[in-house]
Amino acid sequence: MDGEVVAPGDVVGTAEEYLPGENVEVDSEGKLRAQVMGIVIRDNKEHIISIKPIKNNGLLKMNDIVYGKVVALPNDRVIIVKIISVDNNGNKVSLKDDVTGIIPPAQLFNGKANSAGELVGIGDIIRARVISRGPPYTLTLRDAQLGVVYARCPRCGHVLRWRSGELLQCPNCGAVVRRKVSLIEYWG
Amino acid sequence: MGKQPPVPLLINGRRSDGRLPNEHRPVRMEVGVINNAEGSALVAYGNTVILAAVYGPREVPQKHLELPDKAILRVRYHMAPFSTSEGRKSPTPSRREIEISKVIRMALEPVVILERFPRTTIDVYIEVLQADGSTRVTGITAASLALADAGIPMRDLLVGVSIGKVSGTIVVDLNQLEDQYGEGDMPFAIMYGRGLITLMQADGEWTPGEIGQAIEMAFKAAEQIYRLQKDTLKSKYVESSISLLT
Amino acid sequence: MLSVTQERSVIPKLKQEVMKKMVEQGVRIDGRGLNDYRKLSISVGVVKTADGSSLVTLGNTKVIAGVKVEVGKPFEDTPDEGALIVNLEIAPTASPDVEPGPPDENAIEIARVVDRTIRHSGFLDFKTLSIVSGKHAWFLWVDVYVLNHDGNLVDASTIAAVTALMNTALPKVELDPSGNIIKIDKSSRAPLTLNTDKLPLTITHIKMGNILLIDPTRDEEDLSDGTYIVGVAGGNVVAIQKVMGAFTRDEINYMINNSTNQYARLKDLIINAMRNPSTELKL
Repeated sequence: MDGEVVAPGDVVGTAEEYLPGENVEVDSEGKLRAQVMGIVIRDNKEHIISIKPIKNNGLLKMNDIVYGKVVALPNDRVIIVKIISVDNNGNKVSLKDDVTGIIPPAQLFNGKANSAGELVGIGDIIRARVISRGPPYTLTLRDAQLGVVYARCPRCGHVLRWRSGELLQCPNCGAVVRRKVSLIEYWG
Repeated sequence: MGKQPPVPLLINGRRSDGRLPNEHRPVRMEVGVINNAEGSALVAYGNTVILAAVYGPREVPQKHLELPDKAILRVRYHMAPFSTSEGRKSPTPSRREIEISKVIRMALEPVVILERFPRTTIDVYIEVLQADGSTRVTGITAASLALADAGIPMRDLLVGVSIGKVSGTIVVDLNQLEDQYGEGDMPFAIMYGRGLITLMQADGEWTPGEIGQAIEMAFKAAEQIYRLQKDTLKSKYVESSISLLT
Repeated sequence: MLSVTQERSVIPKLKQEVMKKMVEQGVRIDGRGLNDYRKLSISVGVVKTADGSSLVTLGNTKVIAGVKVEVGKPFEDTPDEGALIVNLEIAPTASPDVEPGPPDENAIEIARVVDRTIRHSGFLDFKTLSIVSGKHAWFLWVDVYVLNHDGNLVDASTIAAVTALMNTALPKVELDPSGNIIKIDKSSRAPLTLNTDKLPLTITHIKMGNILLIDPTRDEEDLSDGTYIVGVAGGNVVAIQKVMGAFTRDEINYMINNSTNQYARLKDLIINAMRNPSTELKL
């Protein structure tokens, strides 16, 4: 019976035999019923029965690495991001729907940042990590590998190049801009 | 009310399309028909053909609608302009469609485990492509399949069945003619595995005894459709298939 | 147009617990039993500009219904019948959470349930609304206005619509020999022909946990797990609407039977009230 495909409402056992695990509920008669389309997993040691869903829902999970565009910096303290894609073993998978991410002041930087505008600019693309169940998702930039991966010159609009450390430079007008740059990737 | 059917609705125990009173039209169902949707289904009860597609759970576009403790359901039942046998149906939602969208949402809410996805929306779109009676119940069967196909957690599958009264006889699965000229109709949505009714409406005149008979007949028909739903969903993961039930 | 899950009003936890505890013991917070209606009062003819009107008070729920009659062309498939059109608006006076605007899905649903209940009851023979077959017939526009919302809008609205129809009189129509209208004389009127044995009424049940009760207040509705409406006329059911929740077959059987029992009592009450009703527009 292990590995059997079930549909919502299918009886997969009784409350006397097993404890309900993920995607399993007990009905009023003590029957264990599947809640999703999936595959039955029986843990006979712990006596837990659960269903492994056949389909993953499109929602992001804790610790997912995501890429998103900075769309607003309310009060210069919070960063609002439109999440565009999620990292899946090195591949960037585009999201179907608009997903909002929020980076609160405490998640901007390991040190003390006076303002969000010192770390990112509107229109920048950032690499961030999901630290809540959402949506809207709370994101963090508090890691050297997280931060800006793409930015344009605030003066002339050219794509900024990475110069060193936290500095980006415009190849057109020469402006030097400070950002919290991701240390593992920069697309410019 | 004073309307005479163009052909008799019941002669010698047979209905205008040759069926017996307790005989459902052939049911056809297919899931995963819209590849952009998270889940989808095409369901036919005879000549009534309905498409249902599910998107989400996803962010709620209008922030003021989102709920902190559960997902919201957004449901639209809509008839395509070419779906009726009479003239073109205006695509603007009618009062009837607004009411049906609501009763279908209310039929789905006890079934979908909304608490699993706070602050999101699950969108269910039901499009009537070809109407020959019993469209709301066919739509419910399709919506339930599309939700399951989308991997949305549910307490059971939901089956839609219509019961009606023609020439004083209780019949299952009304066609358009019976819907228009019959003495009454009574649509149901049934969580068959749980023995619960989540949609029930009626118009026309019914004795309490006839209502009991109607519920009994609805459960009998629901059992077969429920089985077919499960087979259709499970066999999708073996091969995409079209099933038939007569 | 999408139908969207709505946020429910939050009743303070303490009050919720008290209400649920009491209901388990068979009483309600306003002192009623589970199977009791609130006090009902009816005044008719309260709006002089309407062709028929009624003001219904059920507990603190106040509903006014006005009937306007118009001569129209009968529908092609029913040339010798008039028509009934029921609309309902929850006026912004009714409660702090009502936004002015066109009827939403809740108002549309109530109007359609009231409409179906009257339509299939046999109370109103649509043929009596015919003036000249295929040419002229009376159209009855019933507009129900909810003025104050304290629950059970459907039952109050049905009573208001039905008693407003009982108060409605049709103007005299003068015809020429070929059936054209010469004159509509509003000063000379005849009441609608109605069959009060088939008086249509709705009976609304809600479910709290496993307990079923009738005529809910707004607070009870906000706490409920299910709503089920039965339209009754004579001894028969003429409409059903499961509004919210999930019900077992036993629960439905109980509600159907209880509704037909409640109907007999409520009908007598209304017929009595209509013998000598007040005509004052007094809230």
